[in-house]
Amino acid sequence: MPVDTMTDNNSRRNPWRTLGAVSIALCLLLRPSPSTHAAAAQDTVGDAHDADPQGGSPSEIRLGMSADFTAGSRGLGIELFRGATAYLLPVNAAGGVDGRRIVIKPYDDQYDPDLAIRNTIELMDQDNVFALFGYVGTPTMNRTLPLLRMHQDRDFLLLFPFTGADTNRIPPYDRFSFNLRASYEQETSGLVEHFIRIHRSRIAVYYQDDAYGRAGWAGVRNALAKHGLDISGEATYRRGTPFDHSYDGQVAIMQRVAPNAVICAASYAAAAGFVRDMRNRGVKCPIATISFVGSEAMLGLLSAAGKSSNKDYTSRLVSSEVVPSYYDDSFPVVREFREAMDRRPQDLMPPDALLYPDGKTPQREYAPLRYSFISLEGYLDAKLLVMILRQMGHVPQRAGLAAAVMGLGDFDLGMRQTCSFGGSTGRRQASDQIYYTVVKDGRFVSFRESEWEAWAKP
Amino acid sequence: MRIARFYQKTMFGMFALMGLVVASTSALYLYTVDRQLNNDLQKNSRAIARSTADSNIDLIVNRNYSALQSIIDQYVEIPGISYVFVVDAHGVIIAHTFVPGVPDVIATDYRDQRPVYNRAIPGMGRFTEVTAGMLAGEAGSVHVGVDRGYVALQVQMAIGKQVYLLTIVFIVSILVSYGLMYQVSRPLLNLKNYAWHAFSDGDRGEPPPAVELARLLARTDEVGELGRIIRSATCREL
Repeated sequence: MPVDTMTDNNSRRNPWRTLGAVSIALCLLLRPSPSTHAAAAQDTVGDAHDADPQGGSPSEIRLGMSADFTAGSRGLGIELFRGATAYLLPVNAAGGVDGRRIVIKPYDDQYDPDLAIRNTIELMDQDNVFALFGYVGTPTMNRTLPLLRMHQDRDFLLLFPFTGADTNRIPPYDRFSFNLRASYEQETSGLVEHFIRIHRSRIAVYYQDDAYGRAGWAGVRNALAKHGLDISGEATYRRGTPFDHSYDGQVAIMQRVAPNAVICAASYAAAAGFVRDMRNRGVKCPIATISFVGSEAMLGLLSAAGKSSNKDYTSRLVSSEVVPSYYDDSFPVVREFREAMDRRPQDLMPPDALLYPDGKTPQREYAPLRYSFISLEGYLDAKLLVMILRQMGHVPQRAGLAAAVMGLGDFDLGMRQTCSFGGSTGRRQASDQIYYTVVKDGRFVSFRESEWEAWAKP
Repeated sequence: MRIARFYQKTMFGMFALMGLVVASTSALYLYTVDRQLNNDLQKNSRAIARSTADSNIDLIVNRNYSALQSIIDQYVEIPGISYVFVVDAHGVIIAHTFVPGVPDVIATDYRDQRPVYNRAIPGMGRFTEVTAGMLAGEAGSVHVGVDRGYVALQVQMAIGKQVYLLTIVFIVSILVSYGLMYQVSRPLLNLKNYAWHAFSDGDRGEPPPAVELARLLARTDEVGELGRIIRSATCREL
């Protein structure tokens, strides 16, 4: 059979083939790019240490710290680190503890629980630290504690976190941690008691919408419940909200509730913003903050805002603290703290690579505080740590750390009060003391018991 | 590129049919995605409410509200889950994720334990709220709010992608069909030109080129046959 040339031509230009080719091309064009699914690669390469299995070497004892060093609450992490370093520098210069220098390995978690978890894993697995030390924040600590429980056979402990939340003070995580400071429950309870004593029992709470804020809220609620009272109103904000954000929504709630005192479980930027907007809208009731706020940073923001608007944002503002005022020289530890902070201030900062991962710029540069409640707490944390390590002999072992802390019994850190660990109740929190401060002449000073009366509700 | 009128209606019919396919596919897709997403989100939120209610009794009994807050904070990171709150045995909200505060709509109506609420919260949107009781409601309840706006947005996005894809397919199909029709109708046009030219003694129309005419007359189909008939008829007339 002869082949029809036309038919042959047609078969070469087969439309179905063309359609098929177009369809395949379309599918390839519309296929999602592999890069859209690719997870961001994480740099998990750390310093591999040729360390002994107990978090140190013949020449050093390594401690791991995870805190915010770059984000909205970096002031807390940096100042805590500076205070601890101020104590450790002379100790290390004098040969350390039994010839071992004490080294803090700081990691940035930006106050983000997920980053705190990653840092902790790195500290435990890569850096093989002796203990975790000076963690900052409740949400970060809350998410980290289960890791310690999971690896309890390796005896890691969290020493002196900068939080007063209950999570590491009650089962099941209490046995993985030791605290120096009083709890938020104690701080808020003290504030509630004082406010009720001056007839200010309509108490509202302003708090961070997370575990830290909830701890503060619960403290206020429990303290009020002892008097048969309830929280009169509450307003929240998102973690990381900056100072220049509007807090009118929160203030509107407070205006509706009309409390005669407000207790804040907030970070410094959000606390300062809230105080500013409360005063701007004419709400004049006393406002109290708790120790986590970072009083000096809050004061700095309020003072600057006050200067630019010619308003006083710092009156009727009380802060509860877990360490004494660093201006009160009657405390021996305050004198030594101030000397230590002034001795080599340039050597106290965490490394620039940690603080400025994208490069140091004048806008991003952190201006350290000469003294602060937080650095004083860091100083006390380090002092207590060295005291414990000195109890542990020449070769400190992680497994022996808890017993060494519990064996301290009563001791004095120079705060004119007896602190204690262990004892018949198995105390894991050294201090119960709360100190109240107010702003006078642009700085926080002690607020005496008698001075509360001036704020009594008529 | 002209197409024989003979095929133009066929092409119009094809496009209309294709449009119908696009419209009906989109409608079915819209319905399926909307239903599936709603079901999935409701299932997820029910699972969250159930697991929070079942596994955190100790936190509530121990009044460890901070740890409870940590747990519920993680759930609102799930797309579509807008809020979570936990109510204790006394009817007090002991943990929540609202900013700047618990909306009035919820503050006034959360104590009964209906398994599913549909809520419109001013300033926030429309939500389906799933509830799970702790210890059969004796210890309180966990409430999880699913953003219905999120579902609608996801459906819109899915439909958008679908329409985008179908539009491309539609345009390509038109071009391919047109080309195909042109190929198919070209012999007919040649035949028409050949017929006009042959029957008018060369007065009207241009004859197809010699190569094309040869191919036309060599075709074994009806078009070729008709061409050959025309050639015979015009030869006989001569």
